[in-house]
Amino acid sequence: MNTTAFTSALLSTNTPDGLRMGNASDPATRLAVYRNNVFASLTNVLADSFPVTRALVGEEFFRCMAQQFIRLHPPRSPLLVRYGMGADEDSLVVFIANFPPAAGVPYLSDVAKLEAARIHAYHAADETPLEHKALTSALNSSVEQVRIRLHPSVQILASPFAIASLWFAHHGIVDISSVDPYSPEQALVLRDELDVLVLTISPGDATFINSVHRGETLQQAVSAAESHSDFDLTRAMQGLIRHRAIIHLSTE
Amino acid sequence: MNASHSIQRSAFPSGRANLPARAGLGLKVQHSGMVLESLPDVGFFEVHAENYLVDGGPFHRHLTRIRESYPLSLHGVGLSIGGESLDTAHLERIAALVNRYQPQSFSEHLAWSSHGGVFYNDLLPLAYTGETLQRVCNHIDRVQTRLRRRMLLENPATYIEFVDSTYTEAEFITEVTRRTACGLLLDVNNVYVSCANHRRDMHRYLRTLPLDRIGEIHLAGFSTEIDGLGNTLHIDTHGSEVADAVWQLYEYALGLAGPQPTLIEWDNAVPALDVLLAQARQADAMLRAPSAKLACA
Repeated sequence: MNTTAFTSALLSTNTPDGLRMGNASDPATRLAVYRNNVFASLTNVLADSFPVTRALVGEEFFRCMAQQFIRLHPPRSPLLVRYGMGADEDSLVVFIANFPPAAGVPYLSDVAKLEAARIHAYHAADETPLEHKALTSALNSSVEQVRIRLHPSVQILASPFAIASLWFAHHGIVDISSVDPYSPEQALVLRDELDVLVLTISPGDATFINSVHRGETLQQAVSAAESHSDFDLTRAMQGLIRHRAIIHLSTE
Repeated sequence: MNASHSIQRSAFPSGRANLPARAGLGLKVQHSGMVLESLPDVGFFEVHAENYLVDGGPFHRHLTRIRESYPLSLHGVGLSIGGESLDTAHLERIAALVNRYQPQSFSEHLAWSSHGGVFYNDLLPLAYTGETLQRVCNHIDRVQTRLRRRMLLENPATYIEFVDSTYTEAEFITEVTRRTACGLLLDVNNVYVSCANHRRDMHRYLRTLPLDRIGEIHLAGFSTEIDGLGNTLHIDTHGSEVADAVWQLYEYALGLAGPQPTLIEWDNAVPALDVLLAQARQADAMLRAPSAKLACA
Protein backbone atom coordinates (compact mmCIF):
# COMPACT_ATOMS: atom_id res chain seq x y z
CA MET A 1 0.00 0.00 0.00
CA ASN A 2 1.46 3.38 -0.94
CA THR A 3 1.19 6.76 0.70
CA THR A 4 -1.30 8.08 -1.83
CA ALA A 5 -3.71 5.23 -1.06
CA PHE A 6 -3.32 5.93 2.64
CA THR A 7 -3.97 9.65 2.29
CA SER A 8 -7.02 9.18 0.09
CA ALA A 9 -8.35 6.81 2.75
CA LEU A 10 -7.76 9.53 5.37
CA LEU A 11 -9.94 12.04 3.58
CA SER A 12 -12.66 9.52 2.69
CA THR A 13 -14.20 6.52 4.42
CA ASN A 14 -12.38 3.79 2.44
CA THR A 15 -10.16 1.23 4.09
CA PRO A 16 -7.28 0.25 1.81
CA ASP A 17 -5.73 -3.22 1.64
CA GLY A 18 -2.33 -4.05 3.03
CA LEU A 19 -2.91 -3.19 6.69
CA ARG A 20 -2.13 -5.64 9.46
CA MET A 21 -3.48 -5.59 12.99
CA GLY A 22 -1.56 -7.13 15.87
CA ASN A 23 -4.72 -8.38 17.52
CA ALA A 24 -6.65 -9.24 14.37
CA SER A 25 -8.74 -6.16 14.89
CA ASP A 26 -10.90 -4.48 12.33
CA PRO A 27 -8.66 -2.30 10.09
CA ALA A 28 -11.45 0.24 9.61
CA THR A 29 -11.53 1.03 13.34
CA ARG A 30 -7.77 1.40 13.47
CA LEU A 31 -7.59 3.61 10.39
CA ALA A 32 -10.38 5.73 11.84
CA VAL A 33 -8.03 6.75 14.66
CA TYR A 34 -5.78 8.47 12.11
CA ARG A 35 -8.74 9.95 10.23
CA ASN A 36 -10.12 11.26 13.51
CA ASN A 37 -6.76 12.71 14.50
CA VAL A 38 -6.51 14.58 11.21
CA PHE A 39 -10.00 16.05 11.33
CA ALA A 40 -10.19 16.66 15.08
CA SER A 41 -6.78 18.33 15.29
CA LEU A 42 -7.40 20.58 12.29
CA THR A 43 -10.91 21.42 13.50
CA ASN A 44 -9.38 22.40 16.85
CA VAL A 45 -6.84 24.62 15.09
CA LEU A 46 -9.69 26.48 13.36
CA ALA A 47 -11.83 26.56 16.51
CA ASP A 48 -8.94 28.14 18.44
CA SER A 49 -8.28 30.67 15.68
CA PHE A 50 -11.94 31.72 15.23
CA PRO A 51 -13.58 31.69 18.70
CA VAL A 52 -16.14 34.43 18.06
CA THR A 53 -17.11 32.99 14.67
CA ARG A 54 -17.62 29.71 16.50
CA ALA A 55 -19.70 31.34 19.24
CA LEU A 56 -21.92 33.09 16.67
CA VAL A 57 -23.00 29.83 15.02
CA GLY A 58 -22.53 27.39 17.90
CA GLU A 59 -20.10 24.54 18.38
CA GLU A 60 -21.95 21.96 16.31
CA PHE A 61 -22.44 24.17 13.26
CA PHE A 62 -18.84 25.40 13.41
CA ARG A 63 -17.39 21.89 13.60
CA CYS A 64 -19.56 20.69 10.73
CA MET A 65 -18.53 23.69 8.63
CA ALA A 66 -14.85 23.23 9.58
CA GLN A 67 -14.91 19.57 8.50
CA GLN A 68 -16.27 20.52 5.10
CA PHE A 69 -13.62 23.22 4.79
CA ILE A 70 -10.85 20.80 5.78
CA ARG A 71 -12.01 18.21 3.25
CA LEU A 72 -11.98 20.79 0.42
CA HIS A 73 -9.05 22.90 1.60
CA PRO A 74 -6.64 20.79 3.67
CA PRO A 75 -3.54 22.66 4.91
CA ARG A 76 -0.81 23.19 2.34
CA SER A 77 1.87 23.87 4.92
CA PRO A 78 2.90 22.69 8.39
CA LEU A 79 2.55 26.30 9.58
CA LEU A 80 -0.91 25.86 11.04
CA VAL A 81 -0.85 29.28 12.66
CA ARG A 82 -1.85 30.50 9.21
CA TYR A 83 -4.33 27.74 8.40
CA GLY A 84 -7.58 29.19 7.07
CA MET A 85 -6.13 32.73 6.96
CA GLY A 86 -5.15 34.76 3.94
CA ALA A 87 -7.22 36.12 1.11
CA ASP A 88 -7.25 33.23 -1.36
CA GLU A 89 -9.74 30.41 -1.76
CA ASP A 90 -7.95 28.39 0.93
CA SER A 91 -9.19 30.97 3.42
CA LEU A 92 -11.97 30.09 5.85
CA VAL A 93 -13.17 33.71 5.51
CA VAL A 94 -13.81 33.21 1.79
CA PHE A 95 -15.27 29.75 2.38
CA ILE A 96 -17.78 31.11 4.91
CA ALA A 97 -18.83 33.90 2.54
CA ASN A 98 -19.78 31.21 -0.02
CA PHE A 99 -21.16 28.63 2.42
CA PRO A 100 -24.95 28.51 1.85
CA PRO A 101 -25.87 27.16 5.32
CA ALA A 102 -24.26 30.29 6.85
CA ALA A 103 -26.22 32.68 4.63
CA GLY A 104 -28.55 33.46 7.53
CA VAL A 105 -25.62 35.03 9.39
CA PRO A 106 -24.38 37.44 6.70
CA TYR A 107 -21.80 39.06 8.99
CA LEU A 108 -20.11 35.73 9.84
CA SER A 109 -17.44 35.99 7.15
CA ASP A 110 -16.48 39.55 8.14
CA VAL A 111 -16.24 38.58 11.82
CA ALA A 112 -13.96 35.69 10.77
CA LYS A 113 -11.90 38.22 8.81
CA LEU A 114 -11.50 40.31 11.96
CA GLU A 115 -10.35 37.24 13.89
CA ALA A 116 -7.85 36.41 11.14
CA ALA A 117 -6.58 40.00 11.32
CA ARG A 118 -6.08 39.67 15.08
CA ILE A 119 -3.98 36.54 14.61
CA HIS A 120 -1.93 38.24 11.93
CA ALA A 121 -1.35 41.18 14.30
CA TYR A 122 -0.41 38.86 17.18
CA HIS A 123 2.38 37.22 15.17
CA ALA A 124 3.43 40.23 13.07
CA ALA A 125 7.11 41.20 13.06
CA ASP A 126 8.52 43.19 15.96
CA GLU A 127 9.35 46.80 15.16
CA THR A 128 10.51 49.59 17.43
CA PRO A 129 8.00 52.46 17.60
CA LEU A 130 9.29 55.99 17.07
CA GLU A 131 10.02 57.98 20.22
CA HIS A 132 7.37 60.50 21.11
CA LYS A 133 9.91 63.36 20.93
CA ALA A 134 11.18 62.45 17.47
CA LEU A 135 7.60 62.32 16.26
CA THR A 136 6.46 65.67 17.61
CA SER A 137 9.52 67.56 16.41
CA ALA A 138 9.21 66.09 12.92
CA LEU A 139 5.51 66.78 12.75
CA ASN A 140 6.08 70.36 13.84
CA SER A 141 8.16 71.05 10.76
CA SER A 142 7.07 70.34 7.19
CA VAL A 143 4.11 68.08 7.72
CA GLU A 144 2.93 68.01 4.12
CA GLN A 145 5.66 65.86 2.65
CA VAL A 146 5.98 63.52 5.62
CA ARG A 147 5.49 59.82 5.03
CA ILE A 148 5.06 57.55 8.02
CA ARG A 149 5.48 53.81 8.17
CA LEU A 150 3.08 51.92 10.40
CA HIS A 151 3.72 48.81 12.45
CA PRO A 152 3.24 45.61 10.39
CA SER A 153 0.42 44.56 12.72
CA VAL A 154 -1.75 47.52 11.64
CA GLN A 155 -4.79 46.53 9.57
CA ILE A 156 -8.03 48.32 8.74
CA LEU A 157 -11.21 46.40 8.09
CA ALA A 158 -14.28 48.15 6.74
CA SER A 159 -17.48 46.17 6.94
CA PRO A 160 -21.19 46.77 6.29
CA PHE A 161 -21.66 44.97 9.63
CA ALA A 162 -20.81 45.82 13.23
CA ILE A 163 -17.85 43.42 13.30
CA ALA A 164 -15.94 45.14 16.11
CA SER A 165 -19.02 45.53 18.33
CA LEU A 166 -19.89 41.85 17.80
CA TRP A 167 -16.35 40.98 18.79
CA PHE A 168 -16.57 43.26 21.86
CA ALA A 169 -19.91 41.72 22.87
CA HIS A 170 -18.40 38.24 22.81
CA HIS A 171 -15.65 39.45 25.12
CA GLY A 172 -18.06 41.07 27.54
CA ILE A 173 -16.88 44.58 26.62
CA VAL A 174 -20.32 45.69 25.44
CA ASP A 175 -23.78 44.23 25.98
CA ILE A 176 -24.86 42.12 22.99
CA SER A 177 -28.39 43.55 23.23
CA SER A 178 -26.97 46.99 22.42
CA VAL A 179 -25.32 45.77 19.19
CA ASP A 180 -27.03 46.20 15.84
CA PRO A 181 -25.09 43.75 13.63
CA TYR A 182 -26.29 45.57 10.51
CA SER A 183 -24.64 48.87 11.33
CA PRO A 184 -21.42 49.46 9.29
CA GLU A 185 -18.12 49.66 11.18
CA GLN A 186 -14.43 50.27 10.51
CA ALA A 187 -12.10 48.32 12.75
CA LEU A 188 -8.46 49.20 13.37
CA VAL A 189 -6.48 46.15 14.47
CA LEU A 190 -2.95 46.51 15.77
CA ARG A 191 -0.51 45.13 18.31
CA ASP A 192 0.58 47.60 20.97
CA GLU A 193 3.59 46.01 22.68
CA LEU A 194 2.26 42.47 23.23
CA ASP A 195 -1.45 43.25 23.24
CA VAL A 196 -3.60 42.99 20.14
CA LEU A 197 -6.22 45.76 20.10
CA VAL A 198 -9.45 46.12 18.17
CA LEU A 199 -10.60 49.75 17.88
CA THR A 200 -13.59 51.19 16.05
CA ILE A 201 -12.73 54.28 14.02
CA SER A 202 -14.67 56.64 11.77
CA PRO A 203 -14.76 56.07 7.98
CA GLY A 204 -12.69 59.24 7.47
CA ASP A 205 -9.99 58.19 9.93
CA ALA A 206 -9.97 54.75 8.30
CA THR A 207 -9.42 56.31 4.87
CA PHE A 208 -6.59 58.43 6.25
CA ILE A 209 -4.83 55.52 7.98
CA ASN A 210 -5.22 53.32 4.90
CA SER A 211 -3.63 56.01 2.72
CA VAL A 212 -0.74 56.46 5.13
CA HIS A 213 -0.28 52.68 5.33
CA ARG A 214 -0.06 52.52 1.53
CA GLY A 215 2.89 54.90 1.67
CA GLU A 216 1.19 58.15 0.69
CA THR A 217 2.35 61.44 2.23
CA LEU A 218 0.36 62.91 5.10
CA GLN A 219 -0.85 65.59 2.72
CA GLN A 220 -2.14 63.01 0.25
CA ALA A 221 -3.76 61.05 3.06
CA VAL A 222 -5.48 64.15 4.39
CA SER A 223 -6.84 65.01 0.91
CA ALA A 224 -8.15 61.48 0.56
CA ALA A 225 -9.94 61.64 3.91
CA GLU A 226 -11.18 65.20 4.18
CA SER A 227 -14.33 64.62 2.13
CA HIS A 228 -15.55 62.59 5.14
CA SER A 229 -17.20 64.90 7.65
CA ASP A 230 -16.13 62.54 10.45
CA PHE A 231 -12.40 62.78 9.63
CA ASP A 232 -10.31 64.20 12.47
CA LEU A 233 -6.57 64.39 11.71
CA THR A 234 -5.53 65.07 15.31
CA ARG A 235 -7.61 62.19 16.66
CA ALA A 236 -6.28 59.77 14.02
CA MET A 237 -2.64 60.75 14.59
CA GLN A 238 -3.00 60.69 18.38
CA GLY A 239 -4.49 57.21 18.17
CA LEU A 240 -1.56 55.94 16.11
CA ILE A 241 0.96 57.60 18.42
CA ARG A 242 -0.72 56.43 21.64
CA HIS A 243 -0.69 52.82 20.45
CA ARG A 244 2.93 53.02 19.25
CA ALA A 245 1.91 52.25 15.67
CA ILE A 246 4.36 54.63 13.96
CA ILE A 247 7.72 53.00 13.37
CA HIS A 248 9.34 55.28 10.82
CA LEU A 249 8.98 58.79 9.50
CA SER A 250 10.61 60.42 6.51
CA THR A 251 10.45 63.83 4.90
CA GLU A 252 11.21 64.52 1.28
CA MET B 1 25.06 -1.37 5.21
CA ASN B 2 24.75 1.29 2.62
CA ALA B 3 27.88 3.19 1.68
CA SER B 4 25.98 6.43 1.29
CA HIS B 5 25.20 6.40 5.00
CA SER B 6 28.68 5.98 6.36
CA ILE B 7 28.69 9.22 8.33
CA GLN B 8 30.96 9.10 11.34
CA ARG B 9 29.29 9.29 14.72
CA SER B 10 31.42 12.27 15.61
CA ALA B 11 30.34 14.19 12.52
CA PHE B 12 27.49 15.94 14.28
CA PRO B 13 27.76 17.32 17.75
CA SER B 14 24.61 16.91 19.81
CA GLY B 15 24.39 20.64 20.42
CA ARG B 16 26.28 23.14 22.54
CA ALA B 17 25.51 20.97 25.53
CA ASN B 18 23.03 18.19 26.08
CA LEU B 19 19.77 18.58 27.91
CA PRO B 20 20.26 17.83 31.61
CA ALA B 21 19.16 14.40 32.90
CA ARG B 22 16.19 15.95 34.64
CA ALA B 23 12.48 16.37 34.07
CA GLY B 24 11.39 19.07 31.65
CA LEU B 25 8.04 20.48 30.55
CA GLY B 26 6.42 21.43 27.29
CA LEU B 27 5.99 25.21 27.29
CA LYS B 28 2.34 26.10 26.89
CA VAL B 29 1.34 29.60 25.76
CA GLN B 30 -1.08 29.96 28.67
CA HIS B 31 1.73 29.23 31.15
CA SER B 32 4.43 31.48 29.69
CA GLY B 33 3.70 34.44 31.98
CA MET B 34 3.65 32.32 35.12
CA VAL B 35 6.83 30.49 34.12
CA LEU B 36 8.64 33.80 33.61
CA GLU B 37 7.44 35.15 36.95
CA SER B 38 8.11 32.08 39.05
CA LEU B 39 10.99 30.42 37.14
CA PRO B 40 9.99 26.93 38.36
CA ASP B 41 12.69 24.39 39.08
CA VAL B 42 12.55 22.21 35.97
CA GLY B 43 15.44 20.88 33.93
CA PHE B 44 14.42 22.26 30.54
CA PHE B 45 11.51 23.39 28.38
CA GLU B 46 10.42 21.95 25.06
CA VAL B 47 8.44 23.67 22.31
CA HIS B 48 7.03 22.54 18.98
CA ALA B 49 9.20 24.17 16.33
CA GLU B 50 6.28 24.86 13.96
CA ASN B 51 4.48 27.03 16.55
CA TYR B 52 7.43 29.42 16.52
CA LEU B 53 7.67 29.88 12.76
CA VAL B 54 6.03 33.29 13.08
CA ASP B 55 7.58 36.72 12.50
CA GLY B 56 7.34 38.28 15.96
CA GLY B 57 5.05 39.00 18.89
CA PRO B 58 4.53 37.34 22.27
CA PHE B 59 5.67 33.84 21.26
CA HIS B 60 9.21 34.95 20.43
CA ARG B 61 9.32 37.49 23.26
CA HIS B 62 8.47 34.84 25.84
CA LEU B 63 10.61 32.07 24.40
CA THR B 64 13.62 34.38 24.19
CA ARG B 65 13.33 35.15 27.89
CA ILE B 66 12.69 31.54 28.84
CA ARG B 67 15.73 30.50 26.80
CA GLU B 68 17.84 32.85 28.94
CA SER B 69 16.96 30.79 32.02
CA TYR B 70 16.51 27.23 30.77
CA PRO B 71 17.95 24.67 28.36
CA LEU B 72 15.64 24.23 25.36
CA SER B 73 14.47 21.29 23.32
CA LEU B 74 13.06 22.07 19.88
CA HIS B 75 10.65 19.37 18.80
CA GLY B 76 9.59 19.30 15.17
CA VAL B 77 6.16 18.03 14.15
CA GLY B 78 6.13 19.00 10.47
CA LEU B 79 9.26 17.79 8.67
CA SER B 80 7.58 14.54 7.63
CA ILE B 81 10.81 12.53 7.90
CA GLY B 82 9.05 9.36 6.77
CA GLY B 83 7.36 11.07 3.81
CA GLU B 84 8.23 10.57 0.16
CA SER B 85 10.06 13.86 -0.07
CA LEU B 86 11.60 16.34 2.35
CA ASP B 87 10.27 19.91 2.26
CA THR B 88 13.46 21.91 1.72
CA ALA B 89 11.80 25.26 2.41
CA HIS B 90 10.52 23.93 5.73
CA LEU B 91 13.96 22.60 6.63
CA GLU B 92 15.35 26.08 5.95
CA ARG B 93 12.80 27.61 8.35
CA ILE B 94 13.72 25.06 11.01
CA ALA B 95 17.41 25.81 10.46
CA ALA B 96 16.77 29.52 11.02
CA LEU B 97 14.89 28.75 14.24
CA VAL B 98 17.67 26.45 15.46
CA ASN B 99 20.15 29.18 14.67
CA ARG B 100 18.10 31.76 16.56
CA TYR B 101 17.50 29.79 19.76
CA GLN B 102 20.49 27.41 19.82
CA PRO B 103 18.49 24.64 21.47
CA GLN B 104 20.27 21.81 23.26
CA SER B 105 18.26 19.32 21.25
CA PHE B 106 16.34 19.04 18.00
CA SER B 107 14.04 16.07 17.48
CA GLU B 108 11.51 14.76 14.97
CA HIS B 109 9.37 11.67 14.46
CA LEU B 110 9.60 8.37 12.63
CA ALA B 111 6.39 9.20 10.76
CA TRP B 112 5.11 11.27 7.89
CA SER B 113 2.59 14.10 7.85
CA SER B 114 2.80 15.64 4.37
CA HIS B 115 2.02 14.09 1.02
CA GLY B 116 1.13 15.55 -2.38
CA GLY B 117 1.38 19.10 -1.07
CA VAL B 118 -1.07 18.51 1.79
CA PHE B 119 -0.14 18.65 5.48
CA TYR B 120 -2.25 16.22 7.52
CA ASN B 121 -1.23 17.40 11.00
CA ASP B 122 -0.90 13.86 12.30
CA LEU B 123 2.04 11.51 12.70
CA LEU B 124 1.18 8.88 10.12
CA PRO B 125 2.73 5.39 9.98
CA LEU B 126 5.06 3.94 7.39
CA ALA B 127 5.88 0.42 6.28
CA TYR B 128 9.34 -0.68 7.45
CA THR B 129 11.04 -1.82 4.25
CA GLY B 130 14.44 -1.47 2.59
CA GLU B 131 13.05 1.35 0.50
CA THR B 132 11.61 3.36 3.41
CA LEU B 133 14.80 2.75 5.41
CA GLN B 134 16.84 4.29 2.61
CA ARG B 135 14.43 7.23 2.38
CA VAL B 136 14.30 7.95 6.12
CA CYS B 137 18.11 7.76 6.37
CA ASN B 138 18.45 10.10 3.41
CA HIS B 139 16.09 12.63 5.01
CA ILE B 140 17.85 12.46 8.37
CA ASP B 141 21.23 12.90 6.67
CA ARG B 142 19.92 16.03 4.99
CA VAL B 143 18.46 17.41 8.22
CA GLN B 144 21.65 16.75 10.17
CA THR B 145 23.83 18.20 7.43
CA ARG B 146 21.72 21.36 7.20
CA LEU B 147 21.38 21.83 10.96
CA ARG B 148 25.01 20.78 11.49
CA ARG B 149 24.01 18.80 14.51
CA ARG B 150 22.75 15.40 15.53
CA MET B 151 18.98 15.07 15.63
CA LEU B 152 16.91 12.72 17.74
CA LEU B 153 14.33 10.44 16.11
CA GLU B 154 11.21 9.55 18.10
CA ASN B 155 9.65 6.09 18.05
CA PRO B 156 5.98 6.41 16.98
CA ALA B 157 2.65 5.46 18.52
CA THR B 158 0.89 3.37 15.88
CA TYR B 159 -2.51 1.80 15.40
CA ILE B 160 -1.85 -0.19 12.26
CA GLU B 161 1.01 -2.14 10.72
CA PHE B 162 1.69 -2.89 7.08
CA VAL B 163 1.92 -6.32 5.48
CA ASP B 164 4.79 -4.92 3.35
CA SER B 165 7.06 -4.40 6.38
CA THR B 166 10.21 -6.49 6.34
CA TYR B 167 11.77 -5.00 9.49
CA THR B 168 10.29 -4.82 12.97
CA GLU B 169 9.98 -1.26 14.21
CA ALA B 170 12.81 -1.65 16.73
CA GLU B 171 15.11 -3.15 14.06
CA PHE B 172 14.24 -0.33 11.70
CA ILE B 173 15.00 2.36 14.30
CA THR B 174 18.25 0.63 15.26
CA GLU B 175 19.33 0.54 11.63
CA VAL B 176 18.42 4.21 11.10
CA THR B 177 20.43 5.34 14.13
CA ARG B 178 23.37 3.17 13.03
CA ARG B 179 23.41 4.48 9.46
CA THR B 180 22.80 8.15 10.22
CA ALA B 181 24.34 8.44 13.70
CA CYS B 182 21.18 10.19 14.84
CA GLY B 183 20.04 9.85 18.42
CA LEU B 184 16.90 8.29 19.86
CA LEU B 185 14.06 10.16 21.47
CA LEU B 186 12.53 7.32 23.45
CA ASP B 187 8.82 7.98 23.89
CA VAL B 188 7.89 5.53 26.63
CA ASN B 189 4.18 6.23 26.22
CA ASN B 190 4.45 5.42 22.51
CA VAL B 191 6.23 2.17 23.36
CA TYR B 192 3.38 1.29 25.68
CA VAL B 193 0.60 2.33 23.29
CA SER B 194 2.09 0.63 20.21
CA CYS B 195 3.05 -2.57 21.99
CA ALA B 196 -0.40 -2.80 23.59
CA ASN B 197 -2.11 -2.15 20.25
CA HIS B 198 -0.01 -4.70 18.37
CA ARG B 199 0.38 -7.16 21.26
CA ARG B 200 4.14 -6.87 21.31
CA ASP B 201 6.25 -7.66 24.37
CA MET B 202 7.01 -4.07 25.45
CA HIS B 203 10.03 -4.96 27.57
CA ARG B 204 11.59 -6.90 24.75
CA TYR B 205 10.76 -4.09 22.32
CA LEU B 206 12.48 -1.61 24.64
CA ARG B 207 15.57 -3.78 25.03
CA THR B 208 15.85 -4.06 21.23
CA LEU B 209 15.96 -0.29 20.74
CA PRO B 210 19.37 1.46 20.52
CA LEU B 211 19.23 2.65 24.15
CA ASP B 212 22.84 3.87 24.02
CA ARG B 213 21.62 6.54 21.55
CA ILE B 214 18.94 8.05 23.81
CA GLY B 215 19.10 11.84 23.96
CA GLU B 216 15.71 12.38 25.56
CA ILE B 217 12.69 10.52 26.91
CA HIS B 218 9.03 11.52 26.49
CA LEU B 219 6.27 10.62 28.93
CA ALA B 220 2.60 11.34 28.26
CA GLY B 221 -0.93 10.21 28.93
CA PHE B 222 -2.96 7.95 26.64
CA SER B 223 -6.65 7.19 26.34
CA THR B 224 -8.43 3.97 25.46
CA GLU B 225 -11.29 3.01 23.18
CA ILE B 226 -12.97 -0.26 22.41
CA ASP B 227 -12.52 -1.20 18.76
CA GLY B 228 -14.90 -3.01 16.39
CA LEU B 229 -14.01 -6.45 17.80
CA GLY B 230 -14.34 -5.47 21.44
CA ASN B 231 -10.58 -5.10 21.99
CA THR B 232 -9.03 -2.19 23.84
CA LEU B 233 -7.35 0.29 21.53
CA HIS B 234 -4.76 2.57 23.14
CA ILE B 235 -4.52 6.09 21.72
CA ASP B 236 -1.64 8.50 22.24
CA THR B 237 -3.58 11.63 23.23
CA HIS B 238 -1.19 13.74 25.37
CA GLY B 239 -4.23 14.88 27.29
CA SER B 240 -3.90 13.39 30.77
CA GLU B 241 -1.49 12.34 33.50
CA VAL B 242 1.14 9.70 32.78
CA ALA B 243 -0.44 6.29 33.46
CA ASP B 244 0.95 4.06 36.25
CA ALA B 245 1.86 1.39 33.70
CA VAL B 246 3.87 3.97 31.74
CA TRP B 247 5.69 5.12 34.90
CA GLN B 248 6.62 1.47 35.50
CA LEU B 249 7.89 1.09 31.96
CA TYR B 250 9.83 4.35 32.42
CA GLU B 251 11.47 2.94 35.54
CA TYR B 252 12.41 -0.16 33.56
CA ALA B 253 13.88 2.03 30.78
CA LEU B 254 15.89 4.07 33.29
CA GLY B 255 17.21 0.80 34.70
CA LEU B 256 18.54 -0.04 31.24
CA ALA B 257 19.63 3.37 30.03
CA GLY B 258 20.44 5.37 33.15
CA PRO B 259 19.04 8.84 33.93
CA GLN B 260 17.96 10.74 30.81
CA PRO B 261 16.37 14.15 30.10
CA THR B 262 12.67 13.42 30.45
CA LEU B 263 9.80 15.49 29.09
CA ILE B 264 6.27 15.51 30.47
CA GLU B 265 4.23 15.92 27.28
CA TRP B 266 0.73 17.30 27.76
CA ASP B 267 -0.61 19.05 24.68
CA ASN B 268 -4.41 18.73 24.88
CA ALA B 269 -6.75 19.78 27.70
CA VAL B 270 -3.69 21.45 29.23
CA PRO B 271 -4.05 21.64 33.04
CA ALA B 272 -2.69 24.25 35.48
CA LEU B 273 1.10 24.61 35.59
CA ASP B 274 1.11 23.04 39.10
CA VAL B 275 -0.27 19.79 37.71
CA LEU B 276 2.54 19.64 35.15
CA LEU B 277 5.12 20.50 37.83
CA ALA B 278 3.85 17.64 40.00
CA GLN B 279 4.35 15.22 37.08
CA ALA B 280 7.85 16.61 36.56
CA ARG B 281 8.67 16.11 40.26
CA GLN B 282 7.57 12.49 39.98
CA ALA B 283 9.90 11.96 37.03
CA ASP B 284 12.72 13.77 38.86
CA ALA B 285 12.28 11.47 41.87
CA MET B 286 12.63 8.43 39.62
CA LEU B 287 15.65 9.95 37.90
CA ARG B 288 17.36 10.28 41.30
CA ALA B 289 16.43 6.73 42.40
CA PRO B 290 19.36 4.32 42.70
CA SER B 291 18.00 1.96 40.05
CA ALA B 292 18.35 4.69 37.44
CA LYS B 293 21.98 5.29 38.39
CA LEU B 294 23.02 1.64 38.27
CA ALA B 295 22.50 1.46 34.54
CA CYS B 296 25.33 0.19 32.44
CA ALA B 297 24.17 1.44 29.03
